[in-house]
Amino acid sequence: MKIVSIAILGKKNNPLYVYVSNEENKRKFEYIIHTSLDFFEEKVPLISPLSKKSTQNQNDMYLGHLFPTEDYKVYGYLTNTNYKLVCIIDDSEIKEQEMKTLLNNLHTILVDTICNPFYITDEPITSKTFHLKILDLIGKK
Amino acid sequence: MSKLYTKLGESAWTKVDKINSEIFTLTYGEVVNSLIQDYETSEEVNVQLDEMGYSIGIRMIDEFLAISEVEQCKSFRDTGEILAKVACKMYLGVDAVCKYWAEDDSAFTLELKKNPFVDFVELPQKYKDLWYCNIICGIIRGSLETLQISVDVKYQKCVLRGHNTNEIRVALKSINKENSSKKN
Repeated sequence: MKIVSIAILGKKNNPLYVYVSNEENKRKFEYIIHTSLDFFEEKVPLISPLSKKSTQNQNDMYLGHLFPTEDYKVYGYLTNTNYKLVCIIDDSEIKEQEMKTLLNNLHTILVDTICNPFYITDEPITSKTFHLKILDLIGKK
Repeated sequence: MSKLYTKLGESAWTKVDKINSEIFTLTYGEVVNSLIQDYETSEEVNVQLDEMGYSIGIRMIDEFLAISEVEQCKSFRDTGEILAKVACKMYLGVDAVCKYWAEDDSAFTLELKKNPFVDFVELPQKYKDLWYCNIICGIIRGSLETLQISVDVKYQKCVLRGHNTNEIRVALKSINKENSSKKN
């Protein structure tokens, strides 16, 4: 299982951070990420607002497999504050739990970066520490 | 003597009220941000942080002496140890050490391995001359001056600038001995 691309998009769907494992295909991945935005909107109304379970919060944010493309699978995660996390992997078996864990960790790294007082919200993330943490996260997989 | 101070530090730490570290860190971050917007250059912000710390220090020292119950210092060396083991523990919850004493005990370096001010913070390139926690220098200067001990306090190393630890150099300038019978 190889993570081919990770992207973080802001509330107005502006890209805050895009990572691609292969620079040559960057355009293609950016296009796939852009396409996935429609699927975020599609999946959102399906989440029940009346859920009573306390674990529902985390599950609500994880949207799961968004849509298939020729060679890749795209997974999405929508935070309560409307940050969209997109993860594109190559076509191989992956357990739902693994992907959930990955996206949860990504969310945690994002929150840590947002807490930096010098980070201006809704601006692209340029922090080196953030980039290193993402590489670390992907390296583990 | 140092064990006594460590004990005093820990007992003082249990006596004081505590707040969530995130709210503290985020609030301080916004204070620094706001200063940057007002003063724009790193040097000016450093000066302002020092002044703010000074105002805090002159008020903090009375509370410190009341809660920590330390005895009168016999030398500047004692002052340094109390600062590191009791004051840093009580107010920041961190264990600090005094190192690199000058030959005549007139200066030392305070080393803080962990610093709650800097959680989540990353200094952008344009503020690379900023001493983010300069407020601590002002606090030390203010509190010691109220005790008639005049010091020069400067930041030497900061983890935000890439060093592996935080170091503050405290140098004694003068002690006003006229009122030293009651104070330390």
